[in-house]
Amino acid sequence: MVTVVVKAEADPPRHSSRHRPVPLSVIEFRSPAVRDAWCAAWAMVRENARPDGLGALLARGVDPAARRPATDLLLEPARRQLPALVGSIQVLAMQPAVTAATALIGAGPGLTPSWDDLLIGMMSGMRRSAPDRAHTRFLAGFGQAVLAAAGTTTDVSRNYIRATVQDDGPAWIEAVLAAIAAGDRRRSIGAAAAALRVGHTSGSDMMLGTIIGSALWQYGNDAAQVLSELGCAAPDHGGMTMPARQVCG
Amino acid sequence: MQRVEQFIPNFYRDSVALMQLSSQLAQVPGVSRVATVMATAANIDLLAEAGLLTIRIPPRPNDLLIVAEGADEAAVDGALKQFERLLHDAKPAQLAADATIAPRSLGMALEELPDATLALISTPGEYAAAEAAKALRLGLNVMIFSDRVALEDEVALKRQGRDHGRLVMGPDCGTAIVDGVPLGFANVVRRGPVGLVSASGTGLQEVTCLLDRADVGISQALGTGSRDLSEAVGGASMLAGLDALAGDDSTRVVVLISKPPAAAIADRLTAAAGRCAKPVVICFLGAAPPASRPANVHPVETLEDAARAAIALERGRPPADAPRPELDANLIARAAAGLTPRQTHVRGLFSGGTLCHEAQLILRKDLGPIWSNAPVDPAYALADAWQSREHTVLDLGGETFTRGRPHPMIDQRLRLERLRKEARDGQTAVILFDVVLGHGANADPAAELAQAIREAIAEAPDGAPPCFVASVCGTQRDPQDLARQEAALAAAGVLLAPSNAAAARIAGAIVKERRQQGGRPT
Repeated sequence: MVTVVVKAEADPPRHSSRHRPVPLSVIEFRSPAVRDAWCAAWAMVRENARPDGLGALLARGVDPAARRPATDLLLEPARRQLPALVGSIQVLAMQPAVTAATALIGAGPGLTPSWDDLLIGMMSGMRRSAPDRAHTRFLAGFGQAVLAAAGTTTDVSRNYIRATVQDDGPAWIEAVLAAIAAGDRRRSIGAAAAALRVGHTSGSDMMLGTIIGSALWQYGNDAAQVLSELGCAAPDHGGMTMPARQVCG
Repeated sequence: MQRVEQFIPNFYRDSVALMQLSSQLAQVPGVSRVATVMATAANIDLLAEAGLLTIRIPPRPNDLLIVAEGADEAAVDGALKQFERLLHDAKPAQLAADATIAPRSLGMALEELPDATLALISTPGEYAAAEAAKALRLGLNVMIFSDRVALEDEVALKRQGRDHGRLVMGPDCGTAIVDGVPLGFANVVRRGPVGLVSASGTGLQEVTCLLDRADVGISQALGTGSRDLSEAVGGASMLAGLDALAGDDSTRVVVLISKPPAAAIADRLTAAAGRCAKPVVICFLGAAPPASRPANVHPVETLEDAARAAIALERGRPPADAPRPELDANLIARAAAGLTPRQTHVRGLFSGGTLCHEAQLILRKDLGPIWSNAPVDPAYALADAWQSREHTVLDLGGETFTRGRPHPMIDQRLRLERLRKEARDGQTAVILFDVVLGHGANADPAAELAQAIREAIAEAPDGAPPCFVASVCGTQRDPQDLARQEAALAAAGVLLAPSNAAAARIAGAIVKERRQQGGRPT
């Protein structure tokens, strides 16, 4: 007898008793192995992000010829909105977070526009790193607001956003997050490499969002460091200070 | 400078093709900039901000928008026309020849594995029924690992399975071995003549392992899901499994396993077993023995009895020829002698639900009421499962203990904490537990338990630790290696029993012996 296995990434709270799969573990940078796995994924993104998507934000001397006009148009608005978005999410300020997120819904190259891809990655990363109920509730409200605003983007992108808000992020992103949560550096690198190959710019843009989303609620200044490398101003923390820590090597 | 824009409705080429086309056009003499984006409101805003739009145009998010800027009208018009032509000629990017795509549907999976006969469904419960129905329509047998499937869906699926002549195992079916392939939580057992159908996962694991240890293999081990023997479901999967095994040439003896079924269902199953031309062992834990039974049907009390009966029947002997082995009275007396007079209670810490149930059934005969979070007698349900009272036997895989945590077969941390807590309680005489090996289970459970037991012994009050009694449900070929697991536990001072039932009897006997020794000096 040959067995066909169809195994979806399951949402653990819907399982119970002995058949509950191991719950998705939370990404927690206090574990050095977890932060190390995240650093490894971030290094992959830093080196391999597509320059014709939001990877163009990275200050690594991208040849302008490799970019597209549609990308160039997005760069400055993205540099404006990202710190506002990250800063307000960090202090759970819903209104400014939604305003920043939705300002660029549908913006950028591709059938799933780059900014949408970034949000999809961010929300997936936030879900796997929400430290408590307050953050989970915030994410639920934020996701609903993003989904409500997604009427103006392409059908394909809206469906990706809906799936991310209502269920899981794309499988290739969840694979990266699972590897980071497990503190598995090697798997994290492999999964990030696979995610970066998805689509033309989509995988790369989603990965950028994933890196930011999984870091922004962590103790430490990793998210701020990522923004700084993207040429963005430091996020406004509404008076909250984030303790500095050595950047990923 | 001239600018022109054009929509291409409902059209998309992958980004690589678009980018190549855009760069080709940007090299056309007289054209300076070309942008191709989906015509979302945000992109139109960005184009307008960049001065690339001549007029304000309404968003059309699913249409491709091409904008060209050039020296004169003829150049940009020509560029747009050429763009459109090239776009329609461009083929979608081809996948690399060696690219493999994981199947995303049962249909895709079947294209890759046309000989497949079974689908294992493990999705969130709300989607499992739809996937299972699809699998049945595709002619596959189904094992549904997911739980939280609506009862009416289970009934409908099992009716659909019967109509299609296909097995539906589950929902909430965690263990099966089909044609030698272990599915879910299952042990590595040899192939052989005993076929099993079980509504209980750990019950199935225990019996298949006990058979394997006696060098008796299994033909098929089918799961039914935990609700199958309820009135509503009517034992549909167990009846179908029994039929399948009755007609299976490699099966000589059939074993049915469950916690007590609804009375009418038990009668129906006994009658169906009677119509089978093979001997059938029925182990409905805790159920009253049937008033009458067909000659080929052998009701038994425990999982261990079920294995022993099946072994005897397979060897052509009546089950009565294989009585339970006697407990070692010296071992019991020695164990009891090491306890203080205050140590009079059993504390059971189980990872297998059915093993917990079986232990309670045995212990209550010896010791009276047993408190539990999953009590055999509802009158003895613990109000607070985190606090033991008198004799307490816990199912640590129960909802109270697994909320937000992995199952104790996988992650034992909670059990290890509880073990140390019970050992510190000066009234604990015996800590009884199971260790379940096999696919899906903890990679080295005995090592963790042995460490916790050593610590518990070191910190025991009055220097009198309780006895530790356990059985390991596993086989030599399991990934964890039965012999290695048992050796680690024995080295930590655990009394090992050959089965869960025997472990429970040993635990009960130690406490009874302790009571009998009473105030005698030890």
